Amino acid sequence: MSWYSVGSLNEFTDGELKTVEVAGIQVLLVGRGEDVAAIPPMCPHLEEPLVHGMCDGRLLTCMKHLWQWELDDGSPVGAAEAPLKMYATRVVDGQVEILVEQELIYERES
Amino acid sequence: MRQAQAKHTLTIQGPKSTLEVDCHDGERVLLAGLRQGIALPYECATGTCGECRANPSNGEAVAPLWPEAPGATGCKESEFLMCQSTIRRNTTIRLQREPELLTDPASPPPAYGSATITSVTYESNDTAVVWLTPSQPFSCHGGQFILVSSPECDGYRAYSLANRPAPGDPLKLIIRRKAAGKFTQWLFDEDRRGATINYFGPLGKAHLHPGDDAELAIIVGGSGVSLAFGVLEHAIQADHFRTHRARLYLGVRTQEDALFVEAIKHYVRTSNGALSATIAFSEAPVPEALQTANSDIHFATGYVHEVAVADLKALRSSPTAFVAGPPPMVDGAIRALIMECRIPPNRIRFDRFS
Ligand SMILES: Cc1cc2nc3c(=O)[nH]c(=O)nc-3n(C[C@H](O)[C@H](O)[C@H](O)COP(=O)(O)OP(=O)(O)OC[C@H]3O[C@@H](n4cnc5c(N)ncnc54)[C@H](O)[C@@H]3O)c2cc1C
Ligand code: FES
Ligand code: FES
Repeated sequence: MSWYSVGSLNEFTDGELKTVEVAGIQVLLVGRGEDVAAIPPMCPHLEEPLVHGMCDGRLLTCMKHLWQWELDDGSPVGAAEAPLKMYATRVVDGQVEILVEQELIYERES
Repeated sequence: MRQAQAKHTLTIQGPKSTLEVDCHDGERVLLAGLRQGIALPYECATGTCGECRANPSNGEAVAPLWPEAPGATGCKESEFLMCQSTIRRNTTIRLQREPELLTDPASPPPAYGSATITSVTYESNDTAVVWLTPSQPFSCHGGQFILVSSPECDGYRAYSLANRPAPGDPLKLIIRRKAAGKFTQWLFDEDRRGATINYFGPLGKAHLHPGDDAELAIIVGGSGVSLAFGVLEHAIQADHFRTHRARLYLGVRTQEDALFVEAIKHYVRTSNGALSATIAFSEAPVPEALQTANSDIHFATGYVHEVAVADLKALRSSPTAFVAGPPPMVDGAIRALIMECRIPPNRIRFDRFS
């Protein structure tokens, strides 16, 4: 089990999208109020970087076809056809940590 | 058999189901599928967005027609753009989604056609209204676009219809000249009345639907005004303004770019008060005399999406929003509609004029 520190919680504003590299793996961090969500950087739909998307701290929207997900559990909202995969996160003494054991990737035909 | 008539079988394989269509020698895979009623994925249909990527079972069988297409930059080595490729022999392509049939009788599949340019009116040095008379009946929903090709330039260009033609009607386009653009240079450099061009359409999903039952918010920039006019024409034909309001926001840089003021006034008057129209200048203040002389329209200063959102935030129920124009303007408007106006994405229809 490898927890990696990615910065202090007060460096994240609500809905802010930030890409980091952890153990050689790209991870997208999203400010979610009390903590931070950590997800793969690409959209589960097509190869669109979600860092170009938008987020209000609760809902994440991909700019390409406007799929949306709940940030607390990655569940799809509206037209979205697939959930987000999520890395576990925790806040320890004001530091955000994410659990990266292996890269989370979406199964795609192409 | 002439070479041009040779055809190949294109097998379209989704995760669970498979469909077969013909693809003529040299024909774009996307257009072959669409004309035979398969709802293949696309956005621009002209090689810029990357939306129509697919995976062939045999890459050798695919021939790119425009290898430098910007939309291909995101393609993996195994992928190709369906709108910029043809096939040389019978081929299977794989899609991430199930291939669906276009089954809506109100939206027949797009088709090839030819049309004569019957009139070109210059609204300014770089914007023209072009009327085409198609040689076969053509109809579409308000807001759809067609692909156009001329003998002098490679590939197709996409243009939104600025009217909502019924079979037998001419098609109206609003075309903005692009610096060093091949098709627009061809169109603007000489009198092209009487010239024949080829087209494919109708295409696009950013249109009024027969069952639409909500207020309309139309946010467009530059030549995106064509989509706005297509939607408004459809709304008038469908008597939409009897029961619903509409708000049009047109973004331009300065007063010199504020074309179509008379056309917009005409729509405002035709709507019996249901349509309000705002023209936003992003790079210049609004001269008082302009506002006084055109009291049917509201003029504002600022980016069009900011001006629109300041209004739309106050709405109690979500309108159906249409957004069209240059990609950064479209993305800015979508962002503002979702983040600030809380409009659900399924209420937003858009075309990026990429
Ligand atoms: C859905 C949609 C609707 C649009 N509606 C309008 C509209 O109503 N009014 C308007 O003014 N503009 C509209 N546009 C933009 C328009 O399609 C053209 O990009 C523009 O007119 C420039 O054409 P051009 O030939 O002058 O420029 P060019 O730079 O010569 O070409 C521009 C486009 O042509 C295609 N192209 C270029 N070279 C090739 C090639 N070798 N093979 C194949 N394709 C090639 C590409 O799509 C390229 O982006 C729309 C775009 C889209 C996607
Ligand atoms: S690529 Fe993200 S919604 Fe389609
Ligand atoms: S639809 Fe083919 S690149 Fe846009």
